[in-house]
Amino acid sequence: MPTQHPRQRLLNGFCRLHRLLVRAYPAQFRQEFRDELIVTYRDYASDRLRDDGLGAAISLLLSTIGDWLHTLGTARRDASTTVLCLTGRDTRVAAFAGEQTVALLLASLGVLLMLTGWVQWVRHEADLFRHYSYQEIALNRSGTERGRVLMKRAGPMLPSTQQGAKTGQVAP
Amino acid sequence: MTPRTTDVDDLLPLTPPVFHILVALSDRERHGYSIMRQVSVETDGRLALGPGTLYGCLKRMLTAGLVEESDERPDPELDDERRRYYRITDLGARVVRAEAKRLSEAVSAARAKRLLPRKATGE
Repeated sequence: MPTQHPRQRLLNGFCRLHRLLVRAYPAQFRQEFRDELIVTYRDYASDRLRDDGLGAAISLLLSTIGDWLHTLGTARRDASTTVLCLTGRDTRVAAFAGEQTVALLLASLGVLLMLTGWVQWVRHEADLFRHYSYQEIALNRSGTERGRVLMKRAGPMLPSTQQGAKTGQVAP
Repeated sequence: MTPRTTDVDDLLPLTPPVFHILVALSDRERHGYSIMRQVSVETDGRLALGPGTLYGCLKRMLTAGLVEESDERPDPELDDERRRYYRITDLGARVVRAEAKRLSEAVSAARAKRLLPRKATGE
C-alpha cells in the first residue's frame, strides 16, 4: 500500500474534522448543502495547505473553527426564524445574537470548569483532613506559603506527628 | 416558506459577503469555491469567505431570489458531480446595481467632505 504524502494526510485529517463539524449544522441546511460543503472545503483546505508548515495548518484550523461557529450561529437562527437576513441591519442583529450565543456558551463552559475544579479541590482537601491530622498536613506543606500559614495556626507539633515526620509517614 | 420581496430597497443595504457574491456572479455563473476565490481576488484578500459562511449566504440569497441554481456545467472535464453552479437573477442584478450606486454616493459624499482624495483628472 503506497504511503501518503504528509500534506495529503493532513488534508484528509482536516476533511474528516470538517465532516464531523458539518454534522452539527441544522438538518435542513445539512441536507441541502452537505455534499457541496464537503467538496468546497476540500478545495479550500487544499489551497490553504499548499504552503507547508505548522503555520498554514494552524491558520486553517482557526479559520475552520471560526467559520463553523459563525455558520452554526446563523444557520440555527435561520432554521428557527423566518427573518430574511440579507440587509446590514438584520445581519447586525443576527451577528450580535450569534456572538452572544457563542460568548454565553464559552462563559458557561468556563464557569463549569471553574466549579468542577473547585469541587475537586474541596473533595481533595476533605479527603486529606479525613485521613490526616491538621498538624500532619501543615507539616507536609511547610515548604509552601500556605503550609507556613497552616503551621502557624496549628501551633506546636504533637510528639507522634513529629515522629511520623521523621520517618516520612506524613500526608502526601 | 419565506415570502420573496421584489422591492430592491427592502433588501438594501447588503452585507459585504452578499454584495461581493453578487458581484462575483455578475459576469458568469460559478460554483462555490470559484465564488470564494473570486471574492478574495476582488477584495485583495480582505474578505475571505469560509465554506460555511458562503453557503449560509447562498441559502438566504436563493430564498430571496437573488441567485438561482444553474443546470449547466461549464467545465465538464474538471467538474465534480456534487458541485452546483449558481447564477445571478434579474432581481439580484438590480439589487447589486442599487447597492453599488448607494456605495458610490457614499464615496462621493466622503470626497465632498475631503475624507477621501479627489478622483484623478487625467492630467
